[in-house]
Amino acid sequence: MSKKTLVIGGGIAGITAAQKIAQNGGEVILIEKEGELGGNFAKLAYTFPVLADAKMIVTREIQTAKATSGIEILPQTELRGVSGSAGDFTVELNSPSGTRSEHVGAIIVAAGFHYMEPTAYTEYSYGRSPKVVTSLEFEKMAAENRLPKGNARVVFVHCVGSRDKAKGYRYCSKICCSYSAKHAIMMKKANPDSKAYVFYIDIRALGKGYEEFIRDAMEVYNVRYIRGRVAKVIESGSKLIVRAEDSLIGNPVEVEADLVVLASAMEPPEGSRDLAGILGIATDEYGFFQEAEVNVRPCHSSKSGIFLAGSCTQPMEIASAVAMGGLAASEALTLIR
Amino acid sequence: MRLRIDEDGIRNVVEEAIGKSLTACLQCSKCGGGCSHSEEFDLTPRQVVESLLDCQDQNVLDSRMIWLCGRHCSGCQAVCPVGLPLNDIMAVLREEALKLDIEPKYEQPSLVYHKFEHCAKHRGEGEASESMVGGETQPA
Repeated sequence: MSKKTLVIGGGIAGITAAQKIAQNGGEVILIEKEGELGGNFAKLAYTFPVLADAKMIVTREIQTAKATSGIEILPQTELRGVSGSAGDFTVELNSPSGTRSEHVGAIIVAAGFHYMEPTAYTEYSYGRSPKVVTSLEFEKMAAENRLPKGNARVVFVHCVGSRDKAKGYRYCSKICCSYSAKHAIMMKKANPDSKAYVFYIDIRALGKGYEEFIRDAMEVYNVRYIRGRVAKVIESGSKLIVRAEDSLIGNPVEVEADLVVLASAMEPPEGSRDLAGILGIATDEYGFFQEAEVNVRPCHSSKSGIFLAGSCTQPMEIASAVAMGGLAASEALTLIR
Repeated sequence: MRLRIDEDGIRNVVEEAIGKSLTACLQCSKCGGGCSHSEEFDLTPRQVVESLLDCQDQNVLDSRMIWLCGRHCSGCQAVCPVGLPLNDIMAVLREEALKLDIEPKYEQPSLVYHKFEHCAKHRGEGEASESMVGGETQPA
């Protein structure tokens, strides 16, 4: 085995792919544009559907990657150019210390995703009121112990940017139902005096333990689920008024809240089309990397020798990103041995 | 009471007029939730769509909301996640109702409605009256 594999992106999918290749005797160059590995996973406080310590898990995986021989980790590094073909690529990598050229047999794209900034949703007072935050900001608040204290009412809003052709994306971001339930549970655990409301259209929580997780939010933590997409969030003194229709009774309703959390959509990583251009691979209508065949070749890109892993292909949860990282690794191994 | 559902209602007229199927409705209910005039309405826009799909035409044509919705406002249409042209739908329904000699229920919107729709100065009043339980808004 003489050829290396380039893995683009140091989130959980890229870390997993790098680990698996190296554990099977391959050599990996893992590039990450940020200064640290971990990607979006490292920004979370807890995981779902099991409330586990996210920081602990991601740190463990990063340590494993660092300790595995055969993985060269290059932070603050971006891909600038690619030439050649499967089994014989030349890549140009740019980092603060300069540009270097490397010879690799395969490339794995694990560029992750971006949480949409819901700036278009002026009706939700996002950006205007500091009490309207995104789910990602809620994770940060939780980690820094800044969740509302006392008898606070917190409203979680599903589908902000997802399932919305008018202002966002047509697709479902898949994980928001589950992470909103997680946030509601985190809220109730951190402050049992708080009241949690979740406004939903449909609850999509598929997978082992997911339905039970959502049901626990309702049954064990007394989270109130109301069926109806939130239409407006209005600032009212020191409070927020959340307006929606409770579509099960067919009546407009409003809830006074102290904090509103917007479950913003998962969108393609910033610059995904530029990266696809450098690699010469296809993206879909949204800018996610396009798989060759959705069911049985999910990690083949449109170009031989370049493989895809994780949420840069579609919204997905951590478990799927890990599985896809492993699959991409085994595809790369067939080329470099 | 069990409703008998078929496909032969005025939904066909509506769909032809707007060039789109009403089955596109997501039933997310953002339309009714954000409506500034919901106090004056008996149905929300998504209830109109659902009723049309269930061919409950009489419910819809006899409603008050079709005479009000979309005449001085396009709030729901602007936020509809699937882009249903709600104003056009209501216009078609008014035409259909008139064809059947159904009396307009609410030709003249209330003054409060007018005031806060068209004058920024009064918008605060509109919001206040709207959120009041039992509302002060009277049919004209």
